[in-house]
Amino acid sequence: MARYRNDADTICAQITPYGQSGVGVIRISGSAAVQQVKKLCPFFPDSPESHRAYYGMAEDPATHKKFDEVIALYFKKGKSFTGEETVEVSFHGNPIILNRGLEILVQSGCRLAEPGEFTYRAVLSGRIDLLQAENILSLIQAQSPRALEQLTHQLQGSFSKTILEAEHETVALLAQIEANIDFAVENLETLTRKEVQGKLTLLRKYCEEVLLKAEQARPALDGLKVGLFGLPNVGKSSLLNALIGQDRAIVSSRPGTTRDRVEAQLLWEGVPVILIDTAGLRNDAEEIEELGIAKTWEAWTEVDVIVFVGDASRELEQEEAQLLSQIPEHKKKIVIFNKCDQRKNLSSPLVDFEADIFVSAKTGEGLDVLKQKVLESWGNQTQEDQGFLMRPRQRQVLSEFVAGILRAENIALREEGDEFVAFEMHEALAKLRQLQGKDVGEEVLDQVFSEFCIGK
Amino acid sequence: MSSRRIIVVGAGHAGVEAAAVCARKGFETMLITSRLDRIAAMSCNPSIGGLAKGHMVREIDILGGLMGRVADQTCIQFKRLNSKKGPAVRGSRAQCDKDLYAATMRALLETIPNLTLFEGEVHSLDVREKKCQGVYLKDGSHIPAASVIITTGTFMNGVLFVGDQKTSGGRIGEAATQGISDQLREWGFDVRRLKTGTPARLHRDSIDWSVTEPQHGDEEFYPFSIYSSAKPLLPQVACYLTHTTQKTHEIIRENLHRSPLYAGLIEGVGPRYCPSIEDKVVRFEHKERHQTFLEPEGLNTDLIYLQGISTSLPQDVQDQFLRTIRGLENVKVARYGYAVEYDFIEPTQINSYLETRSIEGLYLAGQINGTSGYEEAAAQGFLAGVNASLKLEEKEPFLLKRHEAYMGVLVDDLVTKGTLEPYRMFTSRAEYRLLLREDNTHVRLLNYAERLNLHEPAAIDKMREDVAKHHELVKKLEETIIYPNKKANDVLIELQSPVLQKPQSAASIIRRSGLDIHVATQFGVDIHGYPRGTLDSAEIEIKYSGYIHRQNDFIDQMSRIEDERLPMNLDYSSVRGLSMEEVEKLTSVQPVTLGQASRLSGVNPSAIQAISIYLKTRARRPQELQ
Repeated sequence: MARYRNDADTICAQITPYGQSGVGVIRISGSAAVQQVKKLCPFFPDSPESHRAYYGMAEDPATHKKFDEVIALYFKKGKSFTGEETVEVSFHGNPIILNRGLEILVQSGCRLAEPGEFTYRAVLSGRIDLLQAENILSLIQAQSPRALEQLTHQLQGSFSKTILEAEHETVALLAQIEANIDFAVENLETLTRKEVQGKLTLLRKYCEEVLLKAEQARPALDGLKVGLFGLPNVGKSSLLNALIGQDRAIVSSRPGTTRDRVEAQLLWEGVPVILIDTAGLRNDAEEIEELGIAKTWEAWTEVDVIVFVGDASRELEQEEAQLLSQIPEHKKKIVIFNKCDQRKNLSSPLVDFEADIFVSAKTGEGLDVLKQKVLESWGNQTQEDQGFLMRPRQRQVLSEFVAGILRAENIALREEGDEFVAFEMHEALAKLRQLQGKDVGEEVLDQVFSEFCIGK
Repeated sequence: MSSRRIIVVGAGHAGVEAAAVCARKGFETMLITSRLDRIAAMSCNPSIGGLAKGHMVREIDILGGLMGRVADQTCIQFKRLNSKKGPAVRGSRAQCDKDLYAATMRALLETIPNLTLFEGEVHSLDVREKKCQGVYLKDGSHIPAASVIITTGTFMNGVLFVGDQKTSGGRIGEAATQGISDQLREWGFDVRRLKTGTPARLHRDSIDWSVTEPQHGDEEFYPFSIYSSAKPLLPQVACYLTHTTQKTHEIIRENLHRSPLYAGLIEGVGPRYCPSIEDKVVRFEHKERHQTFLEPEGLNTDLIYLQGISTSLPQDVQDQFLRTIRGLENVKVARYGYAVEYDFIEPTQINSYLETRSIEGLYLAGQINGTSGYEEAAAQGFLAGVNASLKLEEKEPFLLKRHEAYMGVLVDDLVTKGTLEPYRMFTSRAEYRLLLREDNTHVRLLNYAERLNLHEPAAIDKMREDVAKHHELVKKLEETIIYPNKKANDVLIELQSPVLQKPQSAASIIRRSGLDIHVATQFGVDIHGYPRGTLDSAEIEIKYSGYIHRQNDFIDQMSRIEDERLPMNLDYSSVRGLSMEEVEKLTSVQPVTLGQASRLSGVNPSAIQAISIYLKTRARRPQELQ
């Protein structure tokens, strides 16, 4: 938890339980609530009426892609749970949609609420008293399942240890820099600029690795997003249907709310998988031309695995070849050729007969292989090796730490004063502390004294 | 009459500042010391200032204290430490002629009306109805007063150690004082022991200077005080660098059992940043040698201070090991090093105005609060004097915030965190280090200087003018636009800096790495006529504006809790959601602001929220009833 919450921020959070449900609600509370909601829900009026519901489509302000139909309920200041101006937006209860909604709000300037912060604000505004607040909190706590709590505990343990290590490293390095500043006349054997920079780089990479692993582990929480890409006539839809139809463990299936995508959530060997049937890429031909192929792929950053669908009944089209050759390297990709029941001899050098999978949505041939490949692409991570399941807030704070260390590195590189390196590091350290809910103490000085022979 | 009297007990660096403020505020001030000839003695090293300490000396000076001007007048070597580092962490240090320093300070005190220097020994405090109403002297006489400021340094139950010789004393050759701390202990104060030490003083003529390296001061002199001349008044001298040897370490190791510290005679905690040579040899076993500087204690004395080699080993061991240091083969010791152990009052028992929480009108400043250093003492003495005066004037107390001055950091650290070892100021203690620079002291503190009104009118006018010039110059450079024409770009090419693509402010050009404020003239901005200090402070503010903005943003974020004042005697046990430990801590410390409460060790962020909620709901309740 942050050391102090800034009560002036507009905050948002999902207030219904995580996981699938009919409806999921995000609450936005604070003086900028209406402004922020308007970015997500353009239909929302400037001066809404209190306790009135507004219906419309939620969209991503960057792409103007609509992604769900929602109902936004407005509460004016003094008439809401928190006492502040509040909007509650009801989405369909899919974690993907809700996370997307939250991400958009955060990008537009909202802050994710800390646990209990809505209640805290309710107390601040005098809506309820502390006793009531405590009652609410215990009510919420009592409802949380014990097993989940246990799991959270375990995860927190190992995650804390990792963060603690980064913190120790940061403190140790700061001690060197501070000693160099405060005991300049002592002729201490502190690290050189180059060494400082090297250590900063190591520290940054260490945390980047944590973030990367967390990103890889994320599907366990949010689901592994598998995108089916290909030209319109290659049979993606039938492929999707075949995969859904074949699978008995369907969690849900419903048409996407945007005009050109269909999503299905499946459970493959215990791994939640979200299959996304993207629009036929050619539909976006204009867009492709405008943005270039590389950009087209970038637009699909949310996708964890790209399944590129070709047509085994014909040669690769030039457009397909282009798309195929430009799939970003860092993306996991699987190339499949559908309609293998009508297979022709493919001659394109881009077809890898060893690695590529030949499937048939019609006969079901190769679908198991595809599933296996998809699961493998995520990696057969053992429990220990798995990255941490980080909440968006944690990811955000740790990314801020990484960014701060990077700035410190650059200052060290430019040979600017130690105090500026220290400034960035102190700020970064505060982020780590924030992540752990700790205060900044005197450790840096303690470390200085334990490491150096100092005598005025 | 006694309702206008303030007594200051002890005339060290804290005492003289405290007394000077009270007297200039019009109070009949009595500065009581057991030795009038030892006023403002520099008991240990011969320097004033240094990193973070130099900052405080400037702050004291801007607010109206004395230390800076006396240090300037008696400076025999000036150095700006960290001159190769950034401006926020440069610290001025003046090595002073010790005797002249003391004499000059005394002469200055003697010019202050209402101030009586009184030789005598205070035996006990006159406290009635939880209020300090005067002191009793050793001879039994009683002096009534409205407030008493205690600045007894290392003298309270002071014990000196040289080897296994243990004698009562506050400083070598001077008796300790007994009574006050025992009394405080009886009244329930948490009184503890600290230890510090000092090296041997050597005879100048007995040193072989030829094998040492001279260390000269800086050419440029940056006086601490707005009252000082631009050049040092006294001839400048050099210090000399030499080193210990393996043999030195061997001798010390062999005789460790004779060190009072290692033999367990000393219970007080010593400063980690100023370890004795015994400590250094033990803790840094691998180190082949330790540096030491031979520093003249003055122009007219043959005493040489051996910096960095404080020790409490027996005299014969000191004689032995000193002679293994290069250049000291035939050294004659004028005064042996020793350790001193003394009482201090755990400082969380005073409030932010340096007044004890449990006894009204009783102020503590300096080493009695667990600090070390002349500058730390002077800063507290000054603030204690200010607050004792303001209280008697029934005015708002004086409090500097952590982002305003090192003096604010000092007091806040002491009263919220307390200390377990002699507390010394470091730049790393200030979270707003980039704002708390020497160059902008006047900009930071002008408002306070005006409020305290301790300066001569001409000095305040000068300060106002300097601050105005600073703002004017920064504004001018930020607002002057340089256009990307041939003339401007030719200058940049000459300076090997990228040419302009679009119009930019003169300030943004100064911000470029490798360029400084003087380039402004080449773009036709007239900066002639601004004094050196203004050019420095403006340049630094411009060059580091990015960082300065970030720190200011943070202060703004924090101001919400930092400025939230807590009512006196708040009943923390009635605040829901606090742990027993938190209630206890908060009740004993009684923080002044919510920000201060947040810095108490053992008080969690959630407690701060709980208090905040409590205050808000409490404030609202009466309205609701209406």
